[in-house]
Amino acid sequence: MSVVLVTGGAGLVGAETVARLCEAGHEVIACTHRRAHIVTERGRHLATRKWAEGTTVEPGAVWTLTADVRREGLDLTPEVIDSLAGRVDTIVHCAATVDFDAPTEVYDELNVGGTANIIWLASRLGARLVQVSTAYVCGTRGGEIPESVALAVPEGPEGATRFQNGYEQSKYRAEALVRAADGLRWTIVRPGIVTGSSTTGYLRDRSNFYTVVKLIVEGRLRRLPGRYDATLGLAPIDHVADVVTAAALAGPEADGRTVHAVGARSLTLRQVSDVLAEYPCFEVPRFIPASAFDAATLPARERTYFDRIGRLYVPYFSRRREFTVDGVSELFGLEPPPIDADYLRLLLDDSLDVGFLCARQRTLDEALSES
Amino acid sequence: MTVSTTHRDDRIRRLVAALAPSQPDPAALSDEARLVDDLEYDSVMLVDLTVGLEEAFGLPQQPAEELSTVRTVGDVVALIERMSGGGA
Repeated sequence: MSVVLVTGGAGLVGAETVARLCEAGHEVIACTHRRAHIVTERGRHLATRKWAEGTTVEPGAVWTLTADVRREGLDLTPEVIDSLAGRVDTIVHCAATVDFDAPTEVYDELNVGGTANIIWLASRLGARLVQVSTAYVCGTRGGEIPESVALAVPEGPEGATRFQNGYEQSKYRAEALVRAADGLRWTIVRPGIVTGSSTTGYLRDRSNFYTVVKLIVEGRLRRLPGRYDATLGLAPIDHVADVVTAAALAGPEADGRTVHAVGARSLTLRQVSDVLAEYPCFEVPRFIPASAFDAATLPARERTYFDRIGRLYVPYFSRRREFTVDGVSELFGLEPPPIDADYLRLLLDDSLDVGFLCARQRTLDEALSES
Repeated sequence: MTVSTTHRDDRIRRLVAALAPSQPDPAALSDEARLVDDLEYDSVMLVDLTVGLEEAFGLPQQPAEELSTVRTVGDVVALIERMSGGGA
């Protein structure tokens, strides 16, 4: 029976994909690196067994394989690679850093080099590749962002100016490697900003975007450069995992196709601001034109929060764009969940319920005075 | 270890403990305790800790690369020792 190999199997999108494939009755090898446990959004620890050829895995359990995508051959022994040949017919490549301020070497090694190593493995195994990219490979473009288009970007320093950060550029370069790979069958999935479930609002790992929201609503970032008509392409985790899973199980119709895994419609900063104002415990940020914003005028501590975190998100608060989402319904019959004020309320309510926002924790001043 | 480094070490541990949601006993914090996995730090608490340490010890803003390697209480103590000029 065929097996799906998922890199980044313990990560946010990877673990959900592994769980879905497993529930659908498929054999899955989850490649993990630092984390050993595969935990789903519902907090379920999947039963795992170390990959070994010749044995079977009980229904509902997944194989695990410790691998390092940064290393040639994923740091696997020739024997292990031989054992995968003839078994693995699809690779889902989720492993990547999603940090916006990682050093260039990390992007080169992990996001770009990792994809090169996965292309090698796919070719060695004769497997199809589902590349998990990002909708933000669109970089600095605004307006309607189409799917299924390889975006033309010049090489070198001139090309770098087309992206908002090194992360976007690294994911773009990784996509380019996939598209250029000889004889490879591939599908590219481009998630937006991964946020909580479309039905419960829950997200297991609240980092990145959630961090800046927390700093904003708790009053540590009060002023930010931005436009109220700028849009955020939110992507509920359940939808992203549904799309990646469907792409993994798809036939030749998905070959050479690129799809956005983003909710239907984008959220404007005006909507965000209006919803935040409904919550008495939240501070509402002021978005001011970039030309009128000067970080040097911020109070000392707010300046630090801005320098460390706020500035990384400024590009996302300054552009109006809509990601087209026709691909997932056409190819997989999936309906992107609506992104609107109600969905944002769901995310915020859940973050309050779990104590991520506005929990009565010690403030930094209290902690400093106590210590 | 000199008196001043012991004092600094203690203050770092007290701040790490005070910012952690579970409010652990600072004296019981081992060097191996991981900020995120064991002490349940989230991304904002990590920034708060950084800002707090910089303010408490009068340190210049630390580059992101330095901080990306900090995972445990021992890493925090070692970083502050280094930034404060060794055992001075």
